[in-house]
Amino acid sequence: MAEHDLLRRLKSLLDATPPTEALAAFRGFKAAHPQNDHALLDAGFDLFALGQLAVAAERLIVVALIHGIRTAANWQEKAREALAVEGKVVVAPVGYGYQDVFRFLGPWRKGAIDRVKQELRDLQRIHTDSDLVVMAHSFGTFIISKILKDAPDIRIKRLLLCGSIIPIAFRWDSLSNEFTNKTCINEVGTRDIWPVFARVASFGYGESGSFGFKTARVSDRFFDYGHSDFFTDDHFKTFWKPFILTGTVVASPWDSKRPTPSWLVSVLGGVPMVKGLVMLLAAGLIGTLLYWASRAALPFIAG
Amino acid sequence: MFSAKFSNIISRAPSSAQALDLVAKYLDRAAEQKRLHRLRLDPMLIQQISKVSTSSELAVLIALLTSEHILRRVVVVESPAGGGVAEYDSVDDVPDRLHDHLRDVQMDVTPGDLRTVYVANT
Repeated sequence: MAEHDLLRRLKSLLDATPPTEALAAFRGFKAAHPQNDHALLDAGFDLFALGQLAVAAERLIVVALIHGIRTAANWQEKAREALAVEGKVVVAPVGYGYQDVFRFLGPWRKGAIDRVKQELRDLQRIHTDSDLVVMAHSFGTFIISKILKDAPDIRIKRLLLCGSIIPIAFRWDSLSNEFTNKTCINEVGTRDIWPVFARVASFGYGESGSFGFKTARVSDRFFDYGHSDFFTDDHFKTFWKPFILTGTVVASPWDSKRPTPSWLVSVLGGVPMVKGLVMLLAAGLIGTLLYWASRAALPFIAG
Repeated sequence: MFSAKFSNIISRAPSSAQALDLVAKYLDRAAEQKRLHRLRLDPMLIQQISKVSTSSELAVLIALLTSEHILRRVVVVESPAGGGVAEYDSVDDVPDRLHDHLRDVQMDVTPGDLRTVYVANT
């Protein structure tokens, strides 16, 4: 919004000007702008004199949307349309290329993390004097959890996770970004089994998107959703927009109605990590082979 | 009375429609009670009446009301000793330095010395 930008520039000027020179500075600023802007500038000055333009000159909000794997993430464009407010909220879809399931399960995650880190730093550089809000889905939540630990220079004002695969034991209290349950939301789909699958199938993932974090620093919000059911206009407007604009955490009606998790989620949630079992089996197999090999070699050595 | 005047602005600034409608109703009530000429609205009172949530929205609203001559700005220069020293129609007319007759000194005018109120153009 041009009006908002204009007021922000006026405030920056007046803040940087000694009070005894403020009237002259204001007149000069006004003269440098077209007649159409004068009424707004006059009103802006009235509020500045009253000490109220500080509230008016809200910082620009930059919303970074980070997608998951195996997707072209067309929800990002849909979200941008629903969430952007001209002059107030800039929505930036952030990507790291198509991530297949092998990369997801394997150890090759650094490229995606570095790419997103670089994008967030660039957003902060482009939009200086702005607040960064991150909305991350699925593998995007894992990426952001790594960035929170490794890149304290990226200051995230508010964070919203959905379909999160961050481990439930993630240490929110040890981050340089001091999140609270007013600034960090974890949206849980009670029909979402993928976070549980992610935990049992590979290293470093967790099922917070199926069960919630249950910690003081994160507000878990439950929905009768599957893994990717968050991306509707209605959801964006009812739940995401108030959080982005004002930090309002709108309660979900499903919070109190949600049933106990499905048998599949419960069973998988209790299963130890598959990769742990595979490694144990592999270690056992190698041990057995070595044992038999040494037994077979013994008569030759003795003879 | 005011509602009719406002309909033109509302069509030009639909994003401020709700706020403008509330201000129109407030002014209509004041007119009915014949206290319009006594109204001196400060920005915070306009914010309360219009229920706008941010001061940038408030600035846009005030700009609409003054540019459409529904409200007229009165800028009062106040003495640090308390009380008004002079009144002007615009910040443009306020001198950088003026005589503060309440203290009998020349004063450098700063934004903190100004108080703006708006009166209804009848």
